[in-house]
Amino acid sequence: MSREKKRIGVYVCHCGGNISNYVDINRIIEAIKEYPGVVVAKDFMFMCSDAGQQMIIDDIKEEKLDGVVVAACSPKLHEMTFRNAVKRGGLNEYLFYHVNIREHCSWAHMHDRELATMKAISHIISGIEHVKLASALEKISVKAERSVLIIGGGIAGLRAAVDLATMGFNVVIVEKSPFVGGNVAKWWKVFPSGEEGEDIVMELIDEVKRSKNITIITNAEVESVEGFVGNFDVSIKIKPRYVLRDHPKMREAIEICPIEVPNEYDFGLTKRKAIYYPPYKAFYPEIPAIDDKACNRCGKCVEIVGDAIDLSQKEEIFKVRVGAIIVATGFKPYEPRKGEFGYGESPYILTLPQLERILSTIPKDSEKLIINGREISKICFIYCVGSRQQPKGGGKVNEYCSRYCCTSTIFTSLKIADRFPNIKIYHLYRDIRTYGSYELFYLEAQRRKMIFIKYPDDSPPTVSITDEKLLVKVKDFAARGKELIIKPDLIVLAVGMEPNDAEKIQEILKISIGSDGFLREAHPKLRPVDTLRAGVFIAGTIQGPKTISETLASASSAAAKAVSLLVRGRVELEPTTAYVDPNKCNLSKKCMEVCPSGAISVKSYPGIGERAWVNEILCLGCGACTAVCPSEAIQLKTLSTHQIKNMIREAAKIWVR
Amino acid sequence: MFILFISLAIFMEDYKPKILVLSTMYISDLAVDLAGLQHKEYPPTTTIIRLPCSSMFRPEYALIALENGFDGVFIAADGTDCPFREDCTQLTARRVEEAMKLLKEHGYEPERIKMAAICSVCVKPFIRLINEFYERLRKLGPVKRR
Amino acid sequence: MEASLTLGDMGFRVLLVEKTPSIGGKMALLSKVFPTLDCSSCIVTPKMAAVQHHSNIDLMVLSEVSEVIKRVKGDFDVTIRKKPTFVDIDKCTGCTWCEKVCPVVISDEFNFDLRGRKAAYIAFDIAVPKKAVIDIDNCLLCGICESICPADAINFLDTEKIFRIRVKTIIVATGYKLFDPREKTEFKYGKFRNVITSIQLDRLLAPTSPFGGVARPLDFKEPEKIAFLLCVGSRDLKIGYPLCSQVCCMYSIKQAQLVLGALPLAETTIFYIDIRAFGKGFEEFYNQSKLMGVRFVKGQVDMLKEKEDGSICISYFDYESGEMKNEKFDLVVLAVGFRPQNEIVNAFKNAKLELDEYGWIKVIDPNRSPNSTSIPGVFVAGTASGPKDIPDSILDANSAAMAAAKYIRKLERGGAGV
Repeated sequence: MSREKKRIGVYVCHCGGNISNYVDINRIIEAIKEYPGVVVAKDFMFMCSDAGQQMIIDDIKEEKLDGVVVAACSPKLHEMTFRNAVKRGGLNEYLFYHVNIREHCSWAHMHDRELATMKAISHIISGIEHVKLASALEKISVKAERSVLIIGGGIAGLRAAVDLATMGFNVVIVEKSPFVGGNVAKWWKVFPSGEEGEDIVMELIDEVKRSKNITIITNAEVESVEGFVGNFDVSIKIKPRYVLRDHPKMREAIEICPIEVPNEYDFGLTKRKAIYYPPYKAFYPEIPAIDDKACNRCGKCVEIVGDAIDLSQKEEIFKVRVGAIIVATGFKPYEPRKGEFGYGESPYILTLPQLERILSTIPKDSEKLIINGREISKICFIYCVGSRQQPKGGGKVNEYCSRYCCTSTIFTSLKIADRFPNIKIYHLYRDIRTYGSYELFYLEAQRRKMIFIKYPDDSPPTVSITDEKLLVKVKDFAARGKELIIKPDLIVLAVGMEPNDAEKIQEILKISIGSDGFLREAHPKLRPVDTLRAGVFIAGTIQGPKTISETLASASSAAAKAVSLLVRGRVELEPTTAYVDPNKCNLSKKCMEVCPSGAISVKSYPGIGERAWVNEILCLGCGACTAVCPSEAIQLKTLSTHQIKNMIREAAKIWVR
Repeated sequence: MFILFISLAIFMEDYKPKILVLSTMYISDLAVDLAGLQHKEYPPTTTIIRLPCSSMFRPEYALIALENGFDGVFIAADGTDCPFREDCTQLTARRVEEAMKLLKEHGYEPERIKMAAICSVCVKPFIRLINEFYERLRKLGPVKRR
Repeated sequence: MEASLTLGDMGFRVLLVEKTPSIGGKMALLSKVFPTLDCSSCIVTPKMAAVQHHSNIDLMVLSEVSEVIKRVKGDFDVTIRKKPTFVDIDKCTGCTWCEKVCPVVISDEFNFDLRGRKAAYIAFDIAVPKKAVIDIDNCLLCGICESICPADAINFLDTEKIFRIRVKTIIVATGYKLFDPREKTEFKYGKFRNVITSIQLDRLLAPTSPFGGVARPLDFKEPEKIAFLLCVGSRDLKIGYPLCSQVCCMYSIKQAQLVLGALPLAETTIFYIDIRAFGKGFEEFYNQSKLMGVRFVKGQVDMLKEKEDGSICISYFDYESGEMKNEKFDLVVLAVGFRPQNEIVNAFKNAKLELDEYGWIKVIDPNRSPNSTSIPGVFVAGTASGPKDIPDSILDANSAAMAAAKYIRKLERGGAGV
């Protein structure tokens, strides 16, 4: 459609005086009605009212308009209203342009009617010039798979999987270790309910098992992800498990294995065999795995269970196409450096997760708490280990607060006090962050006469060990920093959370990491589970430290967002994207340098050769490419450089008349 | 001589520079809207054209603006709030530098272009900066067009 | 809003019932939000517009749910009372003429009494829907607005309307209210003019500030020394409310930073028990404020005294030195905590919506479903179940939407009857 031939309708709103009291509407109409291309120029009290909208619809039909300009309030208010009206009139919505003469004119310049009117005219003229070169566009619609890949089989991944499956989606869970279950399965009693961690996980695993459309792939890692929202091609590397199925004599086979290595499922407290189960009940699948690195292929287990084990099993690659991806790789507990508060130098200095493992194995009827042969009568908890570290000397520190540790530590101490009321408990803290109703646990701990000592931010307690005897020196903030000495039987370090595999995920999925090392959300408030890559979501503690309840909320949120995205089986995108005219492109590749989303590549056009090409699904529509193209070959569909130039030129002329 | 000076002063008093404001749809245009909503006044000799992102600014736009009637170009950039990219400010600044060079080549003062990051509620900074720019243009006087 | 948008996007039809004249909640009234210092209204307005334009969401403002009956099949019969606004919502264009001519001025709850509003009014600048309402209790029935309305939208014959609808599931997102600091008499709120609440300070810091900046309410002087008292109405056994309100530490740190931005020469002091900077980016934000010069004092405030010039003398117990101290400030800001807003429970007639000990809607099974309530099919979202910051509320809302969606699926399969 050439520029001169368009038949354009221009509508000026009085906004009940909000506009017409401060600009001269008659002069505006006079100025634009003869303007080239304008066939209708009308004004009305309220264009946004039904009567105003109907006026536009009737004119589109009767006057055969193929362009509409409405000059009214801010487009943020009513652009959608008029777009829909234009659509109802049978005109493509992209042939409409909304001009702001209220916030930008009448309301800002209430004391200069003359110039406010001139300004309004210049705005309307630029709007007309926009419409003259506008073309009819359709929303971009792509077919989308109704399936989701979930990376990580802890509570976040399992919860999201169950949610998605209930909504009728197919789910693939990829778990790096040989068993799903995650960190919660290792916990003794969890706040606020006091249930055992493994019970919570077990229920989720049962739900997953009941669901027909969830596939769990363990001992596996995502190797690469190609494609885009709605159509991600995922390649998964599955390491050999060697154990093919269960066998009645499996326990015997494990027994006979001659190899012992530290058990990571017990945070290194115990040893396990090269063929093993986790030391708790909440795991899946219910067959053991053989640790590829530890196993020496002695074959003793095969002698017992026969072909239930196949030591010749090889690595496999599994490919799947999914519509969306949820990252739920979770956290790992901070591992203190050797010697940090005496860690690693005494069997009586443990981290909180290690203590949880020990507590979950103590016999129900035991009257004394015995750890590594010592009866415990005095425990000292040290808070903020691996969290809230002061930045110093350039090295990487965890400046963030890990959120769960205060409540978790106090809760665990209460549960210990329930079982063993005679144990004396000390808490050495900086700030007690039992937020919300968790405060009740803090009050309960105080009520039970546990001792809370605040230590100064810049002067943490020190731990020394003589003949297995522990000695803690702590400065008491509330007593002008006076040094106190505690001689506990056990020191427990309340370690923080660190992101698990964030860097690897970043590399594979090209999503960003925040300065704290956790994966970064698209917007902390508006889009807390989205990432900047469309179709990729983050759930649970990989985004930042969370409690169980918060993790579940985040997992369900991510699932809800994935459902919203894919439920129609198609993804619709605004056509505010760039395109290349291959006849003009001289392959400067400057557009590719400035594209923020990697949407531009080089493609071979038949009969023309290699030229730049825009993947409109990846294009965000910022227009940066159109500013750098030497031949103006790349353009935004909704706002070309030609359009902008005409808008500026014709608006400028208004001011020199 | 004295009369000439006075008439020049009167002429200068009357001179109202025309400014092209390029705002951004998701960020700075919201601040310009809010300025109007609060009836904060700024020079009315301004035409506002919305771009999706300030990094879309092409140097020729400034030249076309000055050649056809504007006295200056104010780019209300996205700054760090840009929804598209983190390096929006740097990228836009590069285009602005190019535009300044272009203006110089064509015999216009490069000071006739100004870029400032305007967040979506930066009403006060917007009003202050556009007024400062207006005064700067008044000192420069009207564009000497060929 | 978030829950209804997510459900709407999932393809479910949603009815959003709001008690006040505009959706948006308290966030539309704040200045900037921690820890990113984003503008609060900029975050919430797109959501408000999205709700308004969403084809799957119907919006009822100035309406209250008066009765909910759970049916045997697991769905619900709901009665909604829509208060008369005396303005025809279809005709009103939000032009504000009625507001300009209305002769009545009363205190404005949207600015927390910092300035007045009219009897015919639009809730606030960015209200959705942007329609006028007439506060009939304060109206003189003078009729000026009716005669001037260009859209002929004012109708004094408007009456309360009652709607009955059947829904499959209900999400309760009724939020919170702020603690009324008058209950803590030693802080003299309402008596000393230069003792204000945190939300009042937020209005002063907002771009739509009623005084056009930070000033003392007493004499409009710019304050030089400002004290923030944390845990006002929270963690306080004296008034029988031990819970922590979760956000006051952070919003006070935010306000101290914003005050330093607006008044670079001001001194800000925060009196705290524990600084609870526990969320993503919060600790970093806290550290940043220390670098900016915000002073933190672990102390228990005992009493306030007003000096002749309007400044306030604070006596407090300083933990670090173990001594009582006195210090003078120009302005004292009370970081008021949250209280439940739970009137909705009375609407549930044949099944009890349980509350916890302190009046928050009780989450029955936090470690399995963070949105579960005592009634299957009724889910709770956001601060209705306890204080939450904005990111947590958004997550909670989406999670409630998911729980509601799953419940509908179960009903469709006939598996959720009572």
